[in-house]
Amino acid sequence: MVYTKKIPMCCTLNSKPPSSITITLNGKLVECFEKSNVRSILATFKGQIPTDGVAVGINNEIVPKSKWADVTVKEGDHVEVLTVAAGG
Amino acid sequence: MQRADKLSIGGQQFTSRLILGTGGVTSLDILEQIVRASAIELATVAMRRIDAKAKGSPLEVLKKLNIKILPNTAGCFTAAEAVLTAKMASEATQTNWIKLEVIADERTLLPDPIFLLEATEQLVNDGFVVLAYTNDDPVLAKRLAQAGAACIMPLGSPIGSGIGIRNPHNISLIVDDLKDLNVPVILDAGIGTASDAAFAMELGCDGILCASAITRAKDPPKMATAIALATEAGHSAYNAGRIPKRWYGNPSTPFEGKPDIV
Repeated sequence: MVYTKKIPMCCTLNSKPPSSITITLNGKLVECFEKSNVRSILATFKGQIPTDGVAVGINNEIVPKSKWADVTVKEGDHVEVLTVAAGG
Repeated sequence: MQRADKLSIGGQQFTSRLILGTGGVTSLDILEQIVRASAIELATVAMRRIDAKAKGSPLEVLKKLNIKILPNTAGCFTAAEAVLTAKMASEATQTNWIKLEVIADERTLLPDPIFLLEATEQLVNDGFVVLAYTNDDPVLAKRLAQAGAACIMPLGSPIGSGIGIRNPHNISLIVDDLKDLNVPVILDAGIGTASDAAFAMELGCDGILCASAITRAKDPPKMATAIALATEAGHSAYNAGRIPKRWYGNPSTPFEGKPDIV
């Protein structure tokens, strides 16, 4: 089980904590906060946000790097995080 | 000795006619040694799920050595899968070049011609420079070129088989057809050793893409050098023009002027 490490920006001290949702991240079911953005999902890898050589797709739609902070996940989303590997 | 003319793909020129496939490299250090030993300028890489435990990346090594990245769609079975993978590769590597690979099954790894043509059409339409990995089928090769593929990459034999050029006649037909369309032909898959690369180039191919024969050799950097030299030698031999084959001997020294020995 993987949890996002930061509460999303949408949550303030005056509002109640966001509830958890389940998404599929690179083929594994993981739990994260509702409305977690792509950037916070990526933070679960290596403890830092990879940028070079990385692409993110949600439900077969590519999320450009410029939108990682804006696009959020919802219950049941399939998130793929790909990178360059030796092959071909 | 002078190097021959340059390889031109998608408007870009390369001095080396050998393209490296990175599949099978056992370490990033070996990858660097292979690149240095072969003086390649273009290398293909796959797209896979990020591995949190991975130390370093082929991308870092290739960028450091100033090698142009050619992402591929290795392991894709449908046009839709290949097109999405190509787009994710483009997002990850910031290039619109793609080595398009759509295979039919896991046993033969042979290209699926129907999905391949479909994916080529879609990606060309989306502005990609498509290098299409295909069967040694002259008709399909021509159709791919007509669909806008920047380069046709027929196999010599199945990926990783190392059994060389199984149908040289078809490779020659592809070369002849695509010369008219001004589309380069890169022999991809099946190379087992240096002589296979030389043979493909002697048939008129514009270049060689090689992975396993190099990366899985006993000494990968040494084999990389050998295949790079063979690629260049084969190209020079093709340009020089081989002598016609004859059924019987043809003396290089004339019989005329030979003395009578009594």
